Amino acid sequence: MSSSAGESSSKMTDNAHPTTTEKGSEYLEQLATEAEELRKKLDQERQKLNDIPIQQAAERLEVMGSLNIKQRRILKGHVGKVLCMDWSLDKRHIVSSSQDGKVIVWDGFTTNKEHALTMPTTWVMACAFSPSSQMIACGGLDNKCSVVPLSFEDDIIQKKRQVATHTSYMSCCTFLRSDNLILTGSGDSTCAIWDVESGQLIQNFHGHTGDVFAIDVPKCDTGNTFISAGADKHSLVWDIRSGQCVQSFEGHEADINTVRFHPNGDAFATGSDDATCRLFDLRADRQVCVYEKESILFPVNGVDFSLSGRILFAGYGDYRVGVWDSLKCVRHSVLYGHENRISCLRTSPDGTAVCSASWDCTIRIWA
Amino acid sequence: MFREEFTAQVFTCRKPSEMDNIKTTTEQLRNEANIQRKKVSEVSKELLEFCEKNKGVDMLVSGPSDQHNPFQEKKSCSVL
Repeated sequence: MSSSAGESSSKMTDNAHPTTTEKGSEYLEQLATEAEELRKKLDQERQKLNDIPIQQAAERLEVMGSLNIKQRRILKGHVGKVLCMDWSLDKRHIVSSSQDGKVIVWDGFTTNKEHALTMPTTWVMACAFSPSSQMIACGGLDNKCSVVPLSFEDDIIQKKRQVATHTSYMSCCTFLRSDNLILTGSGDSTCAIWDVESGQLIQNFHGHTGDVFAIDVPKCDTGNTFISAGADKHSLVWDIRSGQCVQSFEGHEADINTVRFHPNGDAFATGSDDATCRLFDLRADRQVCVYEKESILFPVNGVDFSLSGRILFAGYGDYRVGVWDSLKCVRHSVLYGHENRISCLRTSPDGTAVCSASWDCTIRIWA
Repeated sequence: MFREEFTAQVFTCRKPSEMDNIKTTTEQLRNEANIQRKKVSEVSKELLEFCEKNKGVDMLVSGPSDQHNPFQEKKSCSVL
């Protein structure tokens, strides 16, 4: 008796495990089926509204004439690949970070270096100027976001403070409206908002299914949204207050490396490893345009708009900056100069210039 | 994002599981099913109007005209 009871109980424990896994996989299947059905329904809904392509609507527009955009400045000083740059709101200063751990603050008018510091990490993938221009934020493979107040009196590295910590590398960061809040994106597939003063996590954004590579906040920041994109090929729109993802956009066939809001705040552009840039519109809830050419085979690592939104600049892995007519969806011209991959590209806050950072260790200003 | 170049050095504490991912995706799709949408022709028209309206102040499109662009002038002399 006792031995048979022992047998049956051991059988039960043996069976318990497979049953829970079966239940788990059943649930997983159920969710997958539901997701598939929802996707079909969404595709149909979005397709219904795809009536006239933007290039057709733009036919009546005049073609952009020749633009006098040339390389005007070259910032030399990094000895490693430059990975990121950001403009100060004073439309003059630029911060850049590189693979060897250096972060440099430049005067874009004179090309002088005003500050330089070495981070205790390689691959400083992200850097940002604070709205007051009195502080910079940076980080990368250290999984952290640190802020450094800028002053000419002290050795600024002494004032460096850690604000944010992710569970994988930090790929992008930007201040949110003030010097007090910072938004970060990470290889841990999340974005987060942090209080700069206390280093406290204010809001967490879960929803990406792969590394986050890029984030952007609308310029006319009246709404409470931001966008993020990355290795899962999706761009997500987030509600800052609730932490909920409110819209998701697909279309790209590979990693999305860069994302920028259109100056109207209702559309945004992305650049991807699939060698295309795309325009998405929040109100249409879908892709509106693809900027591609058969001859372009290299990843897009930086995109930004001119002040009116007419030009979309794209920095490519083939060392070139593409100047696209965002409405007619054709490439207008190409800017040559860089001698290695472009890693980042940003229009200045007043739209006077475009700045590109590259693996050729330089930063160039085009105007 | 040229991940192959630095992945060897990446230190990640925890990656989301397949279950986490599918849960998030489905939840996301459920929310999105109820969004109000505009036609592409409508949003295109609005994008066109925005670009045309701001064309004059877009120095990279219209040139500096009477406004001056500090970057289009020669680099100011640095102190020797």
